[in-house]
Amino acid sequence: MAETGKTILEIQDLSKNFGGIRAVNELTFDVKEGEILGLIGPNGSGKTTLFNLITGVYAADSGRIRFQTQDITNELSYRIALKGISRTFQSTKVFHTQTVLDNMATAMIARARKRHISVTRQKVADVLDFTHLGKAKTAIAGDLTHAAQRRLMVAMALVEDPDLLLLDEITAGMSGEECNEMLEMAKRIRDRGTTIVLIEHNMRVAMALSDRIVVLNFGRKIAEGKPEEITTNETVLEAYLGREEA
Amino acid sequence: MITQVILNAVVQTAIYMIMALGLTLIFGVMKIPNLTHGAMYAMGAFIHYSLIEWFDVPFVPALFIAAPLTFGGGAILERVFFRSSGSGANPVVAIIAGIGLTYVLVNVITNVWGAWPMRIQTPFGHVLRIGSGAISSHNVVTTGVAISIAALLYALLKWTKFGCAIRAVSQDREEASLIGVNVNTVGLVTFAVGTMLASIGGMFAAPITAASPTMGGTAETMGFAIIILGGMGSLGGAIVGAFLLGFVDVFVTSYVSGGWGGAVAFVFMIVVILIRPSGLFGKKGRQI
Amino acid sequence: MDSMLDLLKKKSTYIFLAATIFVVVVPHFSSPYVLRLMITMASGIIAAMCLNVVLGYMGYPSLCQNVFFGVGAYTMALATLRLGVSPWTALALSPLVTFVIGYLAAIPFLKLRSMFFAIGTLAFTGVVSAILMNLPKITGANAGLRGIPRLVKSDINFFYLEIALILVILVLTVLMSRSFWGKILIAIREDEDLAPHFGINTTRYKRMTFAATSALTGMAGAIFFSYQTYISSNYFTIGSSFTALAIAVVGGGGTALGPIFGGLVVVGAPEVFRGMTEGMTLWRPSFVGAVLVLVILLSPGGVVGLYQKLASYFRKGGAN
Repeated sequence: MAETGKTILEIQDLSKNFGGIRAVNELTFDVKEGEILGLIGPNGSGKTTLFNLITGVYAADSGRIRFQTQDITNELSYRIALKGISRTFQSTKVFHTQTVLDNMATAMIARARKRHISVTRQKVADVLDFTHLGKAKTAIAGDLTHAAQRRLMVAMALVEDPDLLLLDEITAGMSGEECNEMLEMAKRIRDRGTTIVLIEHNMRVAMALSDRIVVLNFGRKIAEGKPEEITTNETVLEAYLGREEA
Repeated sequence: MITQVILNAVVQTAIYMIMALGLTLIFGVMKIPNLTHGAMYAMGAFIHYSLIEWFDVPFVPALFIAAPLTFGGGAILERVFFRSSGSGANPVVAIIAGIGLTYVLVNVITNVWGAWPMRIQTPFGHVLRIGSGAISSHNVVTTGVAISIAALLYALLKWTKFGCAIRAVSQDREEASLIGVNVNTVGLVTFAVGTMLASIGGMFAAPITAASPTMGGTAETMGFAIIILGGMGSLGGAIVGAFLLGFVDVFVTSYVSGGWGGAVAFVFMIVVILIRPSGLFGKKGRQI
Repeated sequence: MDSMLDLLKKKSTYIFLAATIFVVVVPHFSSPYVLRLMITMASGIIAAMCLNVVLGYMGYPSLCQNVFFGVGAYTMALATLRLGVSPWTALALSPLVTFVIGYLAAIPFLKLRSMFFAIGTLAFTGVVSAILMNLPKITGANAGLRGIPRLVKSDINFFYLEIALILVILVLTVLMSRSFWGKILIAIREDEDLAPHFGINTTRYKRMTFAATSALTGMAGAIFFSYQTYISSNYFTIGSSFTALAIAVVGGGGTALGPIFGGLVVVGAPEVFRGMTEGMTLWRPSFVGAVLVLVILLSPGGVVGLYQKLASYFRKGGAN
């Protein structure tokens, strides 16, 4: 998959405080179009906070976020979604009491009215196929297996063809085999033209999937580079090992 | 003139404080707003009244009989109606149940005792003169009771084992249960104590403001305004809030006009909820 | 498309027919007291239907319904008595005025969630109640305002006016629940933080829904107080703000027909017993309160929910 080299997301000196704690501390890095960028770091290093800042859940205290050259720094969540950024969450956030189809319908409601119903139907069918949920259309989301629910989350995030997909620990709670399935899916998503930033605790998945990796610790970027470079990076090892001792 | 207003404010604060302390205690442990508080305030007053009028029990001993009765009443309410909402998972259920129970309780009071306001006699009839103002000894006793209750609660929470349990459940129900605290018992007793406090408030308020079935309405809403202002679950917040709103209420009523005192409390409530829902002393970032 | 025979087999056809007969025939044979009761019930049902959209579909427990009932009512009263407009003009004005007030209230209050929203709206009711009570020059306060002109002459026609409004709201509710709007409201109720991530402007839909339902409630208020020709601030205390809630909850949240059953139970049922026991009117609030508590604790889906549970229970063959 050829990278165009264009930057799709720019994070510039981004900071966010909670009480006295700097969750994100003058963070700066870029995401290139078409790549899979892995975001790793010990617990509490600010990864999910970063996702929340990008998607407008939190307001940044300082710094800039630019998406496709547009400044989205303190934009409203729903507008950011409409611009083409989708995400999944650490906890399985779907509409548990609704059917899979209703979940998909809700995910598409903001845009579905502007086009013909058959286009929408096709999109749903395609994405459910893609995430191996084709047979579960009428199942209640809460009744699905954990892995299936997480795939539903991905399906909902994908259905409107986002340019940028943020995956927050998508393999959480999955078995080895389910992880592999997710790995394959992520690669296919990237191959279809969606840029991915993924937060991962599972090192195997993070290294296997990412074209590049950014490492965070205490809200700061401590390393950036190809997976091979990161695994041998002193600072990174210290961050992880140091945390484990503490 | 101002001395009198201040003296009135002190008494008003005392009564509100008794209400608020019970309310904040219940909220701290059960994480739900108790909408039967006002009804039990009224019920306390009427049970007390009945003991005096029907059984010829003097004022003070009647207090000591009525209080445990209301404690029992509160325990029953918690056990039957509020146990399931205790974890705070669905406060709306508790709110609606509280509304329904208030309907029933107030209606019972109306049918048993009548809807007309009744003057209750107090043995503390002596009037003290302070400066240019006057305060009845009943009001002095009420104030003393309020202060004692606040002090007792503080001591209970800080120095007794049960108080420790209450604080544990307030902070983290799940953790508390994991370390062996019987969360259900704590909830039951707290709710019962809170209800009893509301009733005691009513018993002391009745000779001052006359007893009627709906007397609890304003007291309850004031109580909520106070604990929201002071921070739900915070004892200190209830005390400070009671002072603030008690004084504001009486000053507005005395110097501006009669009907607006309550409205001011409501406005305070709305402003606090919108700006700082955790109140003055509450924990920030509470997830409701 | 159902054939005539199929229609005759459906249970709902008979219910519909019974309801139509009830609505068309019964009022003509009712005493003024019963008619007044039916008009009151219809008002409560309308308020509850509007509350039902906000509480049952959108998940926001609003305790200020009767504020909007009052705004519409006072618009009717003041427009006709002070400005001299005809009652029908006032009726057209009342939802407009109420919509504006509803929208303005929505802006701060919809920022609150769950319990805080409930308490906030309750406080709002208190403030408005105090305003109504303490401005006698404008609102007539306790003593009230008399001589509000009637929209239509007879009580029966007032009843039909309210039935018409109920039908309109029923149709609107059903259409809404099946449309994108309904889906958005349910998404807000189920997970309000998740919805914006799909491009849904939750703020706009919350405000519009709140304001629109307020407007319709205001209209009901205008109609009722035109019927009564007399209004006073006593009708709008915190104590009276719970009737709509009781009806909505007892009937069943999130269903179009729920409030209708709720109204029948909350307002109608105590009256049925009235003939049997002398003291029924005395105990009506207890009845309402008890039903409310029983419903919320045992069958939160209300009457409709209970019916659905029972229906599926029997469909599965009973106790087998």
